[in-house]
Amino acid sequence: MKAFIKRTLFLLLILTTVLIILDLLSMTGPFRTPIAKLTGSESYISENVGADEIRPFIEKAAGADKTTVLFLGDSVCRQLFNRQQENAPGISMIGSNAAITPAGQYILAKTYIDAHPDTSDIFLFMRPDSLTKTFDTDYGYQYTVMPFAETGTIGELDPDTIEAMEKVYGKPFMNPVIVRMIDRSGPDRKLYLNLLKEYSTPYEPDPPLALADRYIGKIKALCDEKGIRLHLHPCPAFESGRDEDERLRADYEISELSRWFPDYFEEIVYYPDEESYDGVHFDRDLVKDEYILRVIRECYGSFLLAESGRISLADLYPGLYR
Amino acid sequence: MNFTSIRFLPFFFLIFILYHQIPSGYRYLFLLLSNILFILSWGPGCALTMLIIIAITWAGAMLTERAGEARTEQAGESRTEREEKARTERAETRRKAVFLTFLLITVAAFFVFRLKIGFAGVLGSVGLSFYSLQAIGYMADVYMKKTKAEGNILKYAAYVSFFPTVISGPIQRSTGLLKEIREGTAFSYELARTGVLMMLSGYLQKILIADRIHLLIEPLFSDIALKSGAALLFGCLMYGIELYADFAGYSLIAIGAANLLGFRLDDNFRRPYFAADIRDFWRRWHISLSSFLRDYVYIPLGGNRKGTFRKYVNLMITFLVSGIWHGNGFKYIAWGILHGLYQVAGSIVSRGRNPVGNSGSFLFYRLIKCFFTFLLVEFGWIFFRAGSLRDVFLICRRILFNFGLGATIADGSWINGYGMPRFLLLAVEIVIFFIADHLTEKHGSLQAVLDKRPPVIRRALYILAATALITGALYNYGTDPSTFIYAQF
Repeated sequence: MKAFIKRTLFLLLILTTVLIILDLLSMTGPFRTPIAKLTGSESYISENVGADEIRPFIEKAAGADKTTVLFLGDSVCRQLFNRQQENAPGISMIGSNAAITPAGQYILAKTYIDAHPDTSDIFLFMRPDSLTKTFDTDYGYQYTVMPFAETGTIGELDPDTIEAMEKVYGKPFMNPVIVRMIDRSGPDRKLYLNLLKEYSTPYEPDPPLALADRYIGKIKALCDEKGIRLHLHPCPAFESGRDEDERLRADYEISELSRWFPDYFEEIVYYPDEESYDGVHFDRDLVKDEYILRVIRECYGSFLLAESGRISLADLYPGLYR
Repeated sequence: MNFTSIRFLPFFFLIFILYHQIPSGYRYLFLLLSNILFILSWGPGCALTMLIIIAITWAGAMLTERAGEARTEQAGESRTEREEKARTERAETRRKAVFLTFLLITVAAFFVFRLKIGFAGVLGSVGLSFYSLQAIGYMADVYMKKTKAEGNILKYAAYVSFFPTVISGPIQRSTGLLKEIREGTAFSYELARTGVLMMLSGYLQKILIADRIHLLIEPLFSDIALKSGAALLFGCLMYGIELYADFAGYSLIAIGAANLLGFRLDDNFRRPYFAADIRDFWRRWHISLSSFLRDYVYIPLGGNRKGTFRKYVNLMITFLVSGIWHGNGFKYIAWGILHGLYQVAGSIVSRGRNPVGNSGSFLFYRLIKCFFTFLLVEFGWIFFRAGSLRDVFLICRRILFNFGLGATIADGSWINGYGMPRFLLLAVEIVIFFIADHLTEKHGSLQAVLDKRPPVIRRALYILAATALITGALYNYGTDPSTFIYAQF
């Protein structure tokens, strides 16, 4: 028995060494793609979801520029505003993704305020559904852990939030070194994300908008402290989502958010489903400057002008009023 | 938990280590505990169903034997020869009645759970077929006096619920596994080494061949009315390989795991696609079921002892039972009848000749026969894979009248988005699988071939195989590889 165990352990040791070498190679330049192909994980690195998508926004928020207004939000916000950045030099447009959750939006806002002492306004554009996003096992790790752990900004979150994330994702997998390994290696990413989906359970706050209450509340507190105006507005939506929005309205009405932003649900502008490709985002073929500017005017024209003394559509898009 | 779930290997490793630390007289208790833990992972319904089957068959065997013992006691009394004979006959009748009553109760319970009626639900039916047959076989062995009834219900429960074989067999006999549980097993280095190789080989077959073929052909069998005959034929051929790699892979893992615990189980597959005729095929495919049906259905019916016509009828009945056992639905009955007809036709054709497949046959002649047998078997697998008997006819009709080879190759619908590089990788793996089978056929076992190589080469091959296995498992992970196909039967 001892001889058998000894020989088996010896072979396992060699096997482990081979696997570690392969794993390290899978994070390294020339071997990254071939090993990803061999393990069927090429889509996990080629599609660049998560960290690579969000990291530029964190860097942009932290970057020194002359902007004083921040536009934050989900992917619909990104579709509407980010492409207009050149036309609005005074505004930093970092619409990102709902998957970063309100906690991620808080980190972006905090990073921006720290780097921009003259900030006057923060605009948060989010769909009702985006307010409910939490630390899930589909995209949560790539969007809420990877980019913020790699940039060292995850520490901005409350300790109990970090604890909740550790319960979902596992404490060792929040360590920046491990996060970077999973981010770089296709096989590691595939293995970890699939295990996560199979064996972990998402964080489900009670009430459902507790995370939004907490972190939009934190943005608000920060803004109040610094004399910054905070605005929360819904993104445009599509007819097929109307029922779901109505269902979420009930959750919203018992949240803190409804106290601070009572008109949020009244402001939602619905567009025909034909103008969307997935019921959430605008059809890619339609998203041309003229169309987008029309949507912005229809949805936000009045209050963008009304709410801020220094911001107007004319400031945002001078070309529109030429 | 099944053999490919991530939890299984740590579970098994722990059991392997602990099992050999326990004094041999108590090992069956630990084995039973391991079995219970394994079965509970399928849900309490499954454990409860098994408990009922165990209780019925244990009591059945004990009472059957006791009915015979009563006869022996009475034989000691002073009686005339005529009285003694009458008494013996009455005791035999009583024994038979007890056996048949419990057999009927077990079969009824089997069908109740099989049809998913009652509390056990879907989980209750998992693997039910295999251990039910094992339990029925044990009762029959006691009735036929091949073995003594096991008085210790815990030992008997450890035998019926033996976790390596509980889901998909191989079906164990009381003269084999139960005997080893009764007598206790000891660790054997050589047996453990064989076990590791078998498990490695089984996992390679399951993960690198069966699961990958499953992903390739699954889309082919959805909307079959829209698929060309060529694509469906390709799917059917690949399904035959998938079924073999899947089930033989499972059997190897099961036998290997048992070997590591010190149990010696017989082969369940012996290169079935090298069979030169259908009779030969059934000596190589799912051997534990074939021999079970032979010993407990075909021979009790009279086998070939009651003339040629009765032999053919017995063959048809045996394969009909096999078809019914494999599942609900006429397609399985049709599959059983088809194989019965193959056997009858084979018997008629080969009458007066030497059994086919002798090693003395010319290679070319043998190859043709192997290929022809393979095609016959493959035709049978259509019944297995198709959703219904109607689908079987639809597949056959499309293969015969809507073949569309050119268009199928041109539009790539035969690999259905699987991707040519992935398919080529799979093809290479199938060729390696075939070569390994060929070497085993020639040398008796793959281990014998490997043992002729220097230790360094051998170990390098093990590492290479394990690395291929892990990368292959990772490749399939997150997709939807099949669970063990035979677990559903």
